[in-house]
Amino acid sequence: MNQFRYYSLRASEARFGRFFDNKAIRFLIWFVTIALYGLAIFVLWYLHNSLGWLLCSLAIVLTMLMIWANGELLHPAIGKSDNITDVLSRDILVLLNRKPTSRKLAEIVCKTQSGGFLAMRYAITPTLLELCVADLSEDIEPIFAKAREIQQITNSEQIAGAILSVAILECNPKCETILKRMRLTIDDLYGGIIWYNYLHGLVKNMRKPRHTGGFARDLMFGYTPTLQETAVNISRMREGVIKEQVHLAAHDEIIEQMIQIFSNTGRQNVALIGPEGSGRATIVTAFADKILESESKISSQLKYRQIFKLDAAALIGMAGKRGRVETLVRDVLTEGYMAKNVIIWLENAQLFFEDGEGSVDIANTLLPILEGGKLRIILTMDEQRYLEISARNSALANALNKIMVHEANEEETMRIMQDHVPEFEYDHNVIYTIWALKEAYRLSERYVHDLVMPGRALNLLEAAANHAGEDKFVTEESVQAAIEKTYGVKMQSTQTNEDKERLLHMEELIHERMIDQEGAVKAVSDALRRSAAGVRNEHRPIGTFLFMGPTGVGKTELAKALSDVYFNGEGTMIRIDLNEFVSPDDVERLIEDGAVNELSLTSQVMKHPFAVVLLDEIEKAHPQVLTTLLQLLDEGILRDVRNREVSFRDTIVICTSNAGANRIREYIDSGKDLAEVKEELTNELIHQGDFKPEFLNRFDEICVFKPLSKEDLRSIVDLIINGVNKTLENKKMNVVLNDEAKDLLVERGYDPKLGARPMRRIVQQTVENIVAKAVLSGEMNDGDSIMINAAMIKESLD
Amino acid sequence: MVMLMVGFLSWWYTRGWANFVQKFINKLRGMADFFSLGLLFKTFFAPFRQLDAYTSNNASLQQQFHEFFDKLLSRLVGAVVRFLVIICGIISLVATMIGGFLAICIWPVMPILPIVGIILTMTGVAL
Repeated sequence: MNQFRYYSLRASEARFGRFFDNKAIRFLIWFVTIALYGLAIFVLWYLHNSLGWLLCSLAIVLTMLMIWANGELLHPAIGKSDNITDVLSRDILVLLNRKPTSRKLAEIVCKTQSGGFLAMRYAITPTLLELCVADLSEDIEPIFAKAREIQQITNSEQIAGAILSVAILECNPKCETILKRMRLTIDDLYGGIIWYNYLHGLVKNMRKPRHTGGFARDLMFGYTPTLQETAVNISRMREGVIKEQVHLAAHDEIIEQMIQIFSNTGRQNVALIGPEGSGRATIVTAFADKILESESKISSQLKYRQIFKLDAAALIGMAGKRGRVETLVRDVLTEGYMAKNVIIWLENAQLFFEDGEGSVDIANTLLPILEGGKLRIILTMDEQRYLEISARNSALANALNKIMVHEANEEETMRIMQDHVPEFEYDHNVIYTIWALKEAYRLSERYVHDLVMPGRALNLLEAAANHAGEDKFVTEESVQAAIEKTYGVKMQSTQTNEDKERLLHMEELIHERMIDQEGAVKAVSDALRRSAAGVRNEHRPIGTFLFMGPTGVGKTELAKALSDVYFNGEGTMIRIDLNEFVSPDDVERLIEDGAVNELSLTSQVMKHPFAVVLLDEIEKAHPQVLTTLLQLLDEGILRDVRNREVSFRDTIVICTSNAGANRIREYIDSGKDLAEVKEELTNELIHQGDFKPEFLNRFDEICVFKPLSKEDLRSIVDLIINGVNKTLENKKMNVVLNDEAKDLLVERGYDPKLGARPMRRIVQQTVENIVAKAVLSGEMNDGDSIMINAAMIKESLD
Repeated sequence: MVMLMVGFLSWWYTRGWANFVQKFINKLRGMADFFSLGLLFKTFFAPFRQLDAYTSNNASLQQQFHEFFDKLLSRLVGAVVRFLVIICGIISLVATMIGGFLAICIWPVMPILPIVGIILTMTGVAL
């Protein structure tokens, strides 16, 4: 059954057919055949010689040979026996030798069209396959047996190179490990075979002519000169191109619903309501294709109707004056009605129901037409616009036959992307890998907010073509580059060994720029290490922390340090002072559209998804603002005013609060350990009504910051002086403070209520002023060092 | 070689012939669609390009009379144009049918023709 028969009729025919693969040879044979026929006629007719019959015989033999080659040799049908030779594809039969081994098979599969497809898109290369067969016996039969199983699973007509590639891989006991390393599953490869079969089928169908009614089809329908100027004839554009493929069962149902509505009596309109990118236009195009097909089983009242997409801007432009638009619209719609074969499509229908730039309100003209059902109309718009129109004009909304178009899921989006890949590849002269498709789905889901699936994944996938490597392959890196360049989303670079080291020594790195607060720093570092190791929940922010403590103890400083250390200086800190959000109306300001307020929380995160989000003084925010933040903390998602999902899943969210500062001080004064009193403190804040328990429960860690001691302040002085020296570094100048000077600064700069905050001011007034005067007076030149003592500090303070 | 010959002959008289007939039927269908024959028959008396096909409501008797004649004229023009297209279509279709029918009939005898040709050459038959 799985034994290859080299001398079988099918295999012999396949090898013989190789001769005809060359187009030049085929052309030559046809040329010789026609010449022989001509010569035969000449010899028989004019020379009256019987040799003409021989020439004629030769020509007939060549004719039959060419018919056989085109009908069978180049496209052999599947054999009737259950032997493997009868189901192998022609290109495999041609390449197999008398006694094929598994090694030979691994060598040849990638030379076939489908094997090459899998090699390029899934990296199932000849080298990988040869490595796979190195562990196997020479016996080829187990591979053929596995190939038969795959053929059944993938519903393939014959066993081609792609199936054999996967079979070789699956026969290797380490298949799962190999695939895991390649970040693939066996189902991905089956998907690849189905993808190839589908494309192969499309190419086959392209050769078949489309029957769309013929040239006299429109004789009974009226002329539409005004419509031609103000609208685009979608049906005309679809003639002669490949039929729009419908991959979503839901879309198929919608098209059937549209056919039902337009075939029955009653309101002859369909309003496709769905978010941008959900495929509304594709549905209309597929509908146009379906009613153009002669073979479609639809009512003759609907067959061959032409869909005209009306353009609001063209209408306004053509009308000249705004007041004339209504007259023009009436003319256009009357023309459509009189022609008897027109379906008007109002894409972005809201543009026809509001007065503005590029839009025109023709509701009063349209309403009687929609209600009367004399003219077929398709409207497409998003749900929000539909709701707005309904609120303004309920009669209009009631006159519409509403059909909802929903977002595609992952499986459907992948299939739609696979369908569009050949088009993108042709347009940009590139080759897409499967990882590019997966990455386009993943990244667009997270960072592209204006559209929904499948539109957003498709847009990103097409944009990635411009970032293909020199080898013309579009990989996941191309998609990442596309999202950075096209959408302005700054991607985080992949984790290197250096990043891992940084995470392991996070505490030390943070303490290079802040003093004390070991508890808080450790809690935050542990949480972020867990996240970086992949232990975290992908559907939440990287970390959510509540920093509590008095002012000036390092809460903001820790947030800044995290931004630098965790994101390696590539991250941004998005800071929102919640004391500016004290009324319920302020919620909108927080989630405002970027076009209106570029500093709103959602618009900033849209632009910088890898960031530390610092929400300062949350205790002062209105409770409704805190309720809005619950979903952000829980699922890493916040919806903006336009109802777009903004992902916070690559952010570290830090809320700071001064609430309970006095209690913290009391606990410290009474000698209690902060770690022990954290729970007690949290309960007190809940009882006092400062925070709701459901809000506090959503944080990964609640970090309590202790007030700074005088010893801490001394270390802070060192940090600030280090900062001053860093500024002076380009002049090679250096500032040194003796111990007395530092003690004096600590004494003057210490305020238990304000923490380290006054210290920076004091250093500015003293140290920086002394250095400035020394530089200006010429006492201090480039490369000099200055020693500051207590007397100098005292003098500058007085 | 013998196997290939057997393969050729078995294909020629089975799938080859059937495929040829199928292709011929598709060709006829394509031609009928190209000349829109079905549609033209169905809409033979429909107004040409919907010209003067409009019927106004509450029109006076005289106006209705005018509209009736305008429409009648439009229908007549439509019928003449359609008739011409149908005639062209039918002629093409019949010509294709005759050609195809002949080819279908010649198909089974085609493998014998080279032998006949050789015999005719050997016997010295000339035109």
